[in-house]
Amino acid sequence: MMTEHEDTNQDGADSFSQNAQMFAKFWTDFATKMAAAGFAAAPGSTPPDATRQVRAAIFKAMGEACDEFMRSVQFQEMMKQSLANAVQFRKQLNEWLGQMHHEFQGTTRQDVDQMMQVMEHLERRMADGFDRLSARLDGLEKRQSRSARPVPSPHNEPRRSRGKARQRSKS
Amino acid sequence: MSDQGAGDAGSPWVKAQTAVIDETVNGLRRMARLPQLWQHAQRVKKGATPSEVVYEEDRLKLLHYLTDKPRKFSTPLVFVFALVNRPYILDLLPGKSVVGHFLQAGFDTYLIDWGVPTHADRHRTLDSYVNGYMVNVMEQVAERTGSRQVNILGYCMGGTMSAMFTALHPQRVKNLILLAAGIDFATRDGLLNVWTDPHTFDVDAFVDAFGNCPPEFLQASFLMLKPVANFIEKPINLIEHAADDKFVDDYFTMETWLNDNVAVPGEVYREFVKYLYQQNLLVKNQLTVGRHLVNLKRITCPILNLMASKDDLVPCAQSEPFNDLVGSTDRKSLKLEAGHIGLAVGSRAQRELWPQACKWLSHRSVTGPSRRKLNQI
Repeated sequence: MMTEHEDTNQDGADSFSQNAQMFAKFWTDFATKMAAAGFAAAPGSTPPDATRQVRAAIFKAMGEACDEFMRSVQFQEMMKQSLANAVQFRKQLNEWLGQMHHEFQGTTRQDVDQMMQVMEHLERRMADGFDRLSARLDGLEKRQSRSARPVPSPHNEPRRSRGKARQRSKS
Repeated sequence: MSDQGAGDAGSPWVKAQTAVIDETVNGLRRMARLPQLWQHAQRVKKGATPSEVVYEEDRLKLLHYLTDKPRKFSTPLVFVFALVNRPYILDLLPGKSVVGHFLQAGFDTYLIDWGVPTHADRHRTLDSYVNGYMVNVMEQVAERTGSRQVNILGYCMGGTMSAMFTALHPQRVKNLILLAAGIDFATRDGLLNVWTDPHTFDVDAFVDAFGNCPPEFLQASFLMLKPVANFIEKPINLIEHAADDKFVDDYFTMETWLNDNVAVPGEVYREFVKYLYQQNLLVKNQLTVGRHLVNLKRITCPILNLMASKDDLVPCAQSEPFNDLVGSTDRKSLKLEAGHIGLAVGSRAQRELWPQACKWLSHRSVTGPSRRKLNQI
């Protein structure tokens, strides 16, 4: 009868064996492609041309192997770990810099971000309010225009404040 | 005697030796030119066509291209570029300018330069760009030209944003051209689609920690799509062509642009990765920009969808489904055997693709009774 501990060991061994197989397959494929590249030169071509052809075949084989590797679960797992570490480091750095700024009675990036979020929230609420007013205005215009000619409404599209138009300034 | 000499010269052994000697001489010539490469790198020019800034808002600049060519069409053309790079790739060099093609064809041409976002822009969303800046730009263009509609050409991420804009404001767009634009993100053909898988990439944690998406991160991701080509083949190619001035100039111009990445505003990056790459909401007509649902069926204007069959950034499978998702009846796709950037600056694109695209747009910009006949093209 197998215990739970033995089960885990078995799973670990299977996983190791699977990874080893994939590792071996990857490198065998790569070696095969590289070896095939040695025969890539067309017969009768001059040494410089033959070298170029072999080189191109080697690069092609390397490129294909890289692509295959970068699609593999192992690479993705590695990338995930690297990104997680980078994010963690950045967070710690942000916190440390923030604390330092606060000690000097300064404003941190996080403070500005929070302010921005409050403003975004306010903007959203105001935009919602304007939309409600627009809808009411549209309703009123429609009611009014039943007897008169219809007036095109400028309130249908989302719009923001505009920038400034420039006269000729060549770049 | 002379016959024998001629026979020797034609023999494979002599040929091989001559080729080796030639290659050695060429190698020495290339090595001699290497110290001069920095001079080429210094004289890189950005933009081939003269332009004027006609509108500014925050960091955005609207460029109007100046030309001596008479304007043939009343509807202006607006280029919408991506947020990840600088837009001068569309007007890189004389003879390699997409803008130049449309100016030659007689279009009044504008380009949106989004500028370089700072940390203050991290809260800008797709709504700020699509329903904010783009609406304002189109209004400005309409005011300047007197045309109520515009033609739009969107490149890469700018193409995706143009599709959103056209779906939300269909009355403003006369013709829509998409250039290597990502629409259906379900495909796993591209490495970016694989890497942005929600199990691998926690975009929320990333944006919360970094704010804007750093340009270095984007650049590294793009380079890693083809590491052998970018890190090994490209430098070798430069050394092999070091004696060719034109090649070297083109190389540095291209490299300058490729390394001229800008940060992507954090919230835009979050929305783009989460809602498009990870949840693919655009093709499901479930994407909301601000408080407005993007329904691609609302796009009814003529569509030209341009793709590159060797595109590793936006694979064809990502752009191709667009034509079946829109409500337009007049829709066309053109596929060129090129890469993502080759589609804009490649010599084959200049020769084959852009003349066709100009023709397509010209025929759809003609008003009057002849329009129906021309639509056949």
